[in-house]
Amino acid sequence: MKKQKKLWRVLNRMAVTLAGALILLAVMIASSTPQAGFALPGDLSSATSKYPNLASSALNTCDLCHTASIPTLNPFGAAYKANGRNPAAFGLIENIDSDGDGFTNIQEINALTFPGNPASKPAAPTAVPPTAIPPTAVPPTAIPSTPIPTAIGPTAIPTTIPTSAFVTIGLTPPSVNVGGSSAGAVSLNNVPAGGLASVEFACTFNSTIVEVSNIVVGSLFGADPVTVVNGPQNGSFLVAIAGSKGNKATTSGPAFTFSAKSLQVGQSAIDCQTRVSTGNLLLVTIPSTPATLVATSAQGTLAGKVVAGKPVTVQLNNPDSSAAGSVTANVDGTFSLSASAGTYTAIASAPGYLKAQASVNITNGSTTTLQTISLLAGDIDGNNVIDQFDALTVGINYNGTAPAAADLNNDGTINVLDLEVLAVNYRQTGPQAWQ
Amino acid sequence: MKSFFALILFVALSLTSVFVVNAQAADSIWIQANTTAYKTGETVTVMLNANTATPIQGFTAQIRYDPACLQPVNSTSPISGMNGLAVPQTSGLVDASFASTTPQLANGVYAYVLFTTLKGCQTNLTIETAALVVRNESGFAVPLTGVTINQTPVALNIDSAIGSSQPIAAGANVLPLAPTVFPESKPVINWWVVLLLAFLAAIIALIVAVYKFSRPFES
Repeated sequence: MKKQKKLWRVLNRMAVTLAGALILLAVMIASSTPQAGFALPGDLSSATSKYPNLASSALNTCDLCHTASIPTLNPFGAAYKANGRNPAAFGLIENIDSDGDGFTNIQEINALTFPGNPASKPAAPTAVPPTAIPPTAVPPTAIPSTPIPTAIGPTAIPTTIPTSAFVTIGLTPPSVNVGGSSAGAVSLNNVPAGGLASVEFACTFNSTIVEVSNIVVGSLFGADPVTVVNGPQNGSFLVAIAGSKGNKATTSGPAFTFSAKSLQVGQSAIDCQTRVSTGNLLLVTIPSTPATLVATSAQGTLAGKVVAGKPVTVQLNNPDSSAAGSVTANVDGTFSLSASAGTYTAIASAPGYLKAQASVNITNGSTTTLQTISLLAGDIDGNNVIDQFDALTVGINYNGTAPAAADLNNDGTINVLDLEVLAVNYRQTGPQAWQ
Repeated sequence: MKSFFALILFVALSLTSVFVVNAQAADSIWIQANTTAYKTGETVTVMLNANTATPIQGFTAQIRYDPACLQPVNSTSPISGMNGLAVPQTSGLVDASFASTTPQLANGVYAYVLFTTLKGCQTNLTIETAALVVRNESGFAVPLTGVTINQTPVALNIDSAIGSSQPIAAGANVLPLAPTVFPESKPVINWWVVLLLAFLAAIIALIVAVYKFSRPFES
């Protein structure tokens, strides 16, 4: 019987303790009820339901809606409460800037900064100009994709920040002869799953080497995209594409094509600085790898050897006598000269020597070799005949050094030795036939 | 009346003298011979004359002649500093050029060109081309412009009778004008071949002789 009473007393004390605890809890609940902004689990779950990217971020705390002095609401929390304190309220206040830091609430949520704290805000897009990071400096694969769910419009559509997207420019063929054309295509690659709503290409090229034309926007952004093509002019053009009726580019592929015609021998880089938007009204620069168009000339080679006591120049003339190229022969008289395929007149000349002339046919990719020829010394005045006036030039400049053409034996002095050289070829006329 | 006539005569004579002097007054080149009648073997001296007011650094003349009648010998210039330029000569054309390293102002005889008469001929000497030469800015010899070349032939009458030859001047400033003669190539006799052929001929002769001597003994 004693044992029963003792058990009863223990149970009674436990009941009293529990009752006190319940009373204390009731008092606490009663005292907190008037504070409607208290971060209840239902508010945060509404936020993470609306913005899944918040779930694993620092924003998934009371600080989303409260100041450091809980339960005081911050401007975002106050707006949330004022618009109904339900999931739809987040959508109603997305495009306002609650904390007045220059960024809308949705921009801050996407950037994972606190929309109710002005000290917490995204880095300004203009803080890093598009050209600050050359496309080639950061390979497309060097920027890992950061899957961050975001919201577009009233309906939450998971997407990613398009930092993993990049642009490639293809030229087919990459090397063409002068006057030829190459087909160009500017493609978006690694397009995020959420798609891209618009894109802007600011392209540049060397207009002295390349002429760009026939810019045609493809169907990457769906049917009837809104496009703007500005240029080409002065080595640049701009192509802007926006999907219409909610269409987006959701797959990789060519955004537009163009034609690149080579104007002269050389090479030109064709680059397109590219900015894209996922539809959140933010343009983000993505890397672009430029292409290079090489403009070549269909050429062959003329080679041979010209012997003279003075430096020899070999010149190629077009049929209309205009110069097509020239080269100074090596010390041993050998020379090599590249030229476009065609028929030319080759003229070998040296100061004080009769010229030699040949008709040559240069074919693409092959070498035409002329026979070795020795130029005849004595045509000091270069009138294609070795005559008395050449001899007189030696005479009136006897023991002198100029004109250099009169120093036929190249010994630095104009004297009888030069007259002797001249006499050997006296009355010879040029140009010498050269084959 | 007498004084008037005298005045007219004076003016006429004055004009005549002026015209004579100015017959070659403009820049010009011409040739003349000391005489026009020669005997075979005598020396013809042709004077190359020129007039100019421009200092020159050289002159050149190409004189056509008949190589059957005349043989060019040499040429000299009386102008100090004018040196002859020896260039290959061709038969029938004297090519005489003289040059000076400094400009020279001269009028009258520029050079004497000497020929030897070869046989009785009626022949002419004619300037084919000629020029007074100046130096251009680049140092090249160029012809002085505006120079008239008198190409009137100088007629020579060469008698076939042998005349007395005159001594030909020679010196450092004498420009030889004899045409370049290329020696004719002579056949080279290969004596070794000749000896071989002679030996073979002797063998053949010996065989023939033995054959002839052996015939009487044939049946």
